Amino acid sequence: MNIDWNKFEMVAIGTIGFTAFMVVVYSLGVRFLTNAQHQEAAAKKGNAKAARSELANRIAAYALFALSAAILAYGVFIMFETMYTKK
Amino acid sequence: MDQMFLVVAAVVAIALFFDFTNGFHDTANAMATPIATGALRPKTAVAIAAIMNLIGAFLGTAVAKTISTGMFNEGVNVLPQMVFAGLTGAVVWNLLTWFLGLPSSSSHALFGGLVGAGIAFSGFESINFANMVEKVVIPALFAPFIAAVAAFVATRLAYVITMRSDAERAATGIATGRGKYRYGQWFSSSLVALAHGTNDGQKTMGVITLGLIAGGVISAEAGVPLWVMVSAAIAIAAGTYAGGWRIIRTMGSGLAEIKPPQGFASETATGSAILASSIFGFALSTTQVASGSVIGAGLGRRGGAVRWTKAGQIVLAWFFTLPASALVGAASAWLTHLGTVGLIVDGVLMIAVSIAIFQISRRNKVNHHNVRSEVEGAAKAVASPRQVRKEAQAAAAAAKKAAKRSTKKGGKK
Repeated sequence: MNIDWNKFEMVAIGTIGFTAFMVVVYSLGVRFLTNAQHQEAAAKKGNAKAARSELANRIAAYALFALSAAILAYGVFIMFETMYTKK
Repeated sequence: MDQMFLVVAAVVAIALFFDFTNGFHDTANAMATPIATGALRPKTAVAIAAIMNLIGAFLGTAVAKTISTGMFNEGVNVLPQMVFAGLTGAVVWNLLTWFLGLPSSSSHALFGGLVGAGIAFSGFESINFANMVEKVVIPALFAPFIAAVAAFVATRLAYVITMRSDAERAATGIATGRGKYRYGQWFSSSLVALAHGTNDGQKTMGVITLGLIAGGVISAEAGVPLWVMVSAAIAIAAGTYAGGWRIIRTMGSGLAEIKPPQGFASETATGSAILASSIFGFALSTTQVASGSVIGAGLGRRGGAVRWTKAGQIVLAWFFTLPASALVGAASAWLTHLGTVGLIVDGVLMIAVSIAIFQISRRNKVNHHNVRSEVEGAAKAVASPRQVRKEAQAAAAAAKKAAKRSTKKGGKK
C-alpha cells in the first residue's frame, strides 16, 4: 500500500489556510462596518472628523466584503479548473 | 426484452433513489447552521441548497471515477446484481438513520453496501482494500479533524477581530455587530451545498457508471455518460429540496449552540475541506466534515459548549455505518443469487422497508414549520440593534393599549 501523504497535507493546509483567510477578511469587514455605525450618530450631528471616519470605515468594510466574495469565487474557479484539466 | 437490460435499469433506478435519499439526508450539512442562527428561512435554505447541489454535480467527475474504477480489484467480474445489492444496503441504512435523526455518512453507507455485496459475490479478495484505505478510510479519519481545527481557528479569529470593550458598547449602544455574519452565512452555506453536489452527486454517477460497465452497456474506459450526470444531479437536487428536517434539527441544535460567527466559520471550513478533497478525488463524507466543523466552531467560542453525549451517539453511528450497510448489502446479495426471483424479492423488500420507515416517521413529523422548535430564540441572536429596539417599542405599545383597555373596562363597571 502506497499512501500519498503529501496529498493529505495539501488538503489540511489548504483547508485551514483558506478557511482562516476567508474568515479574517470577512471579520475585518464586519469590524469596519461596525466602526462606521459607531461613528454614525456623531457624524449626523455634524462632526466632520466622525463623518470622514465613518466614510473611510464603510468603504474599507465593503472592499473587504467584495474581496471575500472574490476569494470564494476564485476557490470555486480553482476547483472547476483542476477537475477539468485532470487526466 | 433482454434480462440484463432489466437488471441494469433496476440498478439505475435504485441508484437514483439512493441519490435522492443522499440529498435529503445531507441537506443538514449545508443548511442546519444558517437555519439554526436564523440567517435563512428553512424553505429558502433548502431551495438554495438544491440549486447549488444541482450545479455542483456538474463540476467534474474525479470522485465518480474513484468509485467506478477503484473499488474492486482488476479481473473481478463486477455484476450489476452486485451493485444493486450494495445500493440496497445503502438506501436502508440512510433511511434508518434519517428516521433516527442521526447525521451518518451516506458515502460510507454506499461503500459499505458495495463492499458487503462484493464480498458476498466474490470473496474478500475482490475488494481493492488499498485504494479503499487511501481514498475512503483515511480521509474519513482525517477530514473531520482537519475541518474541526479549521473551524476552531476561524471561530477564534472571528471573535477576536470583532471584539468590543464594554465601554465602547455602552457609549454607542451598538453591540459587536456579529449579527452581520448571517449575510456571510448565505454564501458560506451555499459553498457547502455546491461542494456537496460535487462530492456526493458524483458518487451516484460513479455507481451508475459501475452498473453500466458491469452490464456491458459501456466500456470501462468510457467515462461518465452525460445522461448519467444529468439524472444524478436532478435526483440529488430533488432530495435536497425535500429537506431532511430531522437531521437538520440534530445538526442545528443538537451538537452545539451555534451563533452566526460560528456558523460562518464552520460552513467555510466544511466547504473548503470538501472542495480541497474533491480536487484530489478523495470520496470523503460531507456529513462527517460538517459535524467536525460544528464541533470545532462550538469549542472555538469562549463559553461555547459541545453536547458530547450527542456527539458520541453520532460518532457511534459513524462506526456502525460501514459494517451495518455491508451486512444489509451482503444479505441482499445473497437474495440476488437466487436469480430474477431473488432480485424481485430484494427490490420489493427494499420498497416495503422504505414505505414502513416513512409511515412510522409520520407519527412524529418534523418539517419546515417545527424544525426550529429546539432553537427558538436563535434568530434573536442575529437581530440588529434597530430590530431589537423596534420589537421593544412594539411590545411597549401593545402593553400600553392593553392597559388602556383594561382601565376603560374597569371604569365602565
